[in-house]
Amino acid sequence: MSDASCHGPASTEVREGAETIVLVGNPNVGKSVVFNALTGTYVDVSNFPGTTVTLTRGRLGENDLVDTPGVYGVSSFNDEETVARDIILSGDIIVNVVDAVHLERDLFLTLQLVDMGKRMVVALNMADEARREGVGIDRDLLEDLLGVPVIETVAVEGLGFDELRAAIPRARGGHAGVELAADLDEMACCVGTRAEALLVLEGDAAVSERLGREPGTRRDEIYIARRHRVDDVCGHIITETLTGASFSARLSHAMMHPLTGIPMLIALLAAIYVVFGQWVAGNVVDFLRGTVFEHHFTPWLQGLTAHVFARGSWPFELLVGQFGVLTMTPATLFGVILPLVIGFYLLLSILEDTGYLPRIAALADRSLTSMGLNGRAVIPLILGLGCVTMATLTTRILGSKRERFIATALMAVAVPCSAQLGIIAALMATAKPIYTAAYFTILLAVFVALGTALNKLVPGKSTDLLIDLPSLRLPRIDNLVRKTSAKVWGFMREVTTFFVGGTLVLGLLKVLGGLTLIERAARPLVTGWLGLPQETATAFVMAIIRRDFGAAGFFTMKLSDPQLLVAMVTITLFVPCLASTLVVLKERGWAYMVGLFLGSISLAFLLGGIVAHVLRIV
Amino acid sequence: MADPDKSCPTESAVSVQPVVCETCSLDCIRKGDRIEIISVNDQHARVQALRFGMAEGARVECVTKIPAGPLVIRSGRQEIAVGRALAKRINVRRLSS
Repeated sequence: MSDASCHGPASTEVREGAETIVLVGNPNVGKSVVFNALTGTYVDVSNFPGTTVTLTRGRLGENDLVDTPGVYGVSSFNDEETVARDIILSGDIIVNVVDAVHLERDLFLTLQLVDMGKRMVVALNMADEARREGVGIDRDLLEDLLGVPVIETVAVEGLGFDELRAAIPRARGGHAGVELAADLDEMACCVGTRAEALLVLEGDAAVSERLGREPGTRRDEIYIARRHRVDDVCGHIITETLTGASFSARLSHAMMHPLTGIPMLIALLAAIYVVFGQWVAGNVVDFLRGTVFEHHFTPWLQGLTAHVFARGSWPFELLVGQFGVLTMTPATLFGVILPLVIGFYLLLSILEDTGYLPRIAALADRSLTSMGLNGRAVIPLILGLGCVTMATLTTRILGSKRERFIATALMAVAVPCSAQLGIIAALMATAKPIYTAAYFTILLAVFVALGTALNKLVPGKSTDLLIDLPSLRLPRIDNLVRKTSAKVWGFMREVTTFFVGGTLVLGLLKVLGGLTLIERAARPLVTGWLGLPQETATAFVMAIIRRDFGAAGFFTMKLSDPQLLVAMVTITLFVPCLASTLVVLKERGWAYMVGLFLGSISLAFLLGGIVAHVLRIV
Repeated sequence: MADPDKSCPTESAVSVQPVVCETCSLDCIRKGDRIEIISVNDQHARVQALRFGMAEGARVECVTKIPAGPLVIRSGRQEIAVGRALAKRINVRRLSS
């Protein structure tokens, strides 16, 4: 323990007398599954880099086990690396999980950890998959070459964990590279630990500054030497039986080539539309919201409440009226949002676990380049379809400030979140299909136009795509279910507070006559310019609290098909919800947030009005 | 498609290796080409390439080339997608097709 004041990312306090065991590995090697198996707690598991955003701490016997974000090396190139670096520096024992299929890549990190002089154990994961792919690994020799215990595991099957647990007390420092030894010893005397000394020699700016040392200039040289050692180790321990281009390799390339990849993506989107837009948003939501809540639950609760408060009195209105906390909140939360959010996260989990997402990134790279982004930006953008708030945090994985600027704006303006999209799909399900098509076309056009414009306007230079393509895998059902339920639970918990609060504010506004005032004030804009009934102003007030909440406001209104299109376009482009606004403020600052707010309101009303005039409903 | 058969610099005459000698940027190689990476002119990409095992000196294969988009290169079982603009800053030598 060198740095007792390591605050930052750790989620709970370090317990006295306990050692901290840190799980380290490349993205997507099964760290989270190992963590689950060793501690019995759930963390997010996926086949995509970037899902362990925060650290998770659990117990392993007397000791603490900490999971870290997946990294390809220890340094400070991005947030994930910074978080992982600090926890590695402060940890006592490292459990390094490596993917047996990709040892040439994974052992680079392993050898860096060995050079850091940490006590460690290596978990050689996915040993079964390696054998299936014709990769033979000499575990004993690897153990000798590294000088630390190497345990074979098949994390998803739960194999090898007893051995791994038993090996942790045998963790020890391995055979570090000889060429650095002298420099390291010298530096370690001054800075405290070998691990920190290594990072200083490798020119890590943050660690050097913390220790008051001049960062080293020999990173390339050290990395190249380490790369040679990795290649050497791999040459000794791996025996390959080369197999021809497998089905998964062909599928992988088909996913990325425009000729085949675009039809596949369109087919996927069409399937999503049928499942979500028609089935979930139509039938399931109709049944839950209409039959269960509107026809049974609400009248029943209103009847019950009427025994206590007279119908039309203000407590009655607040509790079970049009915007009642006990009626509108559960009807929207469980009748509309829950089924759609379950559907969305299930889909996202499948995309992540199969490894399709990075292939979409490669496919979309060209188009995104013209918007000042690279293919990697599909991750926040697709996540944005789930929850813009969460996705705004994910923009951290983008390589430059410029890309984060553009992606945040695109998401806040032109990407509807799953809850909002769900409500919009449910509403649009009642209109002719041409209006749904028009809605998505307009949204896509705004997305492309805004991206292209920002690419021209925002100064600076964007980074290029360089992304790891993980093996394609069939997702495991238990993993999908666990992951989806964890995400849905997190989402619903956050949403509920906003919905209850928002409904209360609206109920009060209605009871106190505030809504009538707002409706009257907004009348020229809403009725005159957009051609919508004046009570729709309420929905826009609601949308400031939450986007989906705003869209939900349209359920009680009777709109014609063209009016519905105008309303949906306007409400989608309208301000980001309160939660995303706060995250945008935190991540991008005041000026950005205010600009975004004003920009999106103007754009929403401008475009909504244009659509209204084109459709001649004004 | 860019023409990959550009004139070859001096090396081929003296090289003892029985390979086609051509240095060019990564974006002008073709699908299926086996290449050796000569230099990566981008600080961040060089570090990342070292970690992936695809830095200077590495022998890799171009798996696919997405029209006007990224190239996918493979070393062993590791595949990475490299954006077109970055590919222009990576110099390679073609070994064989």
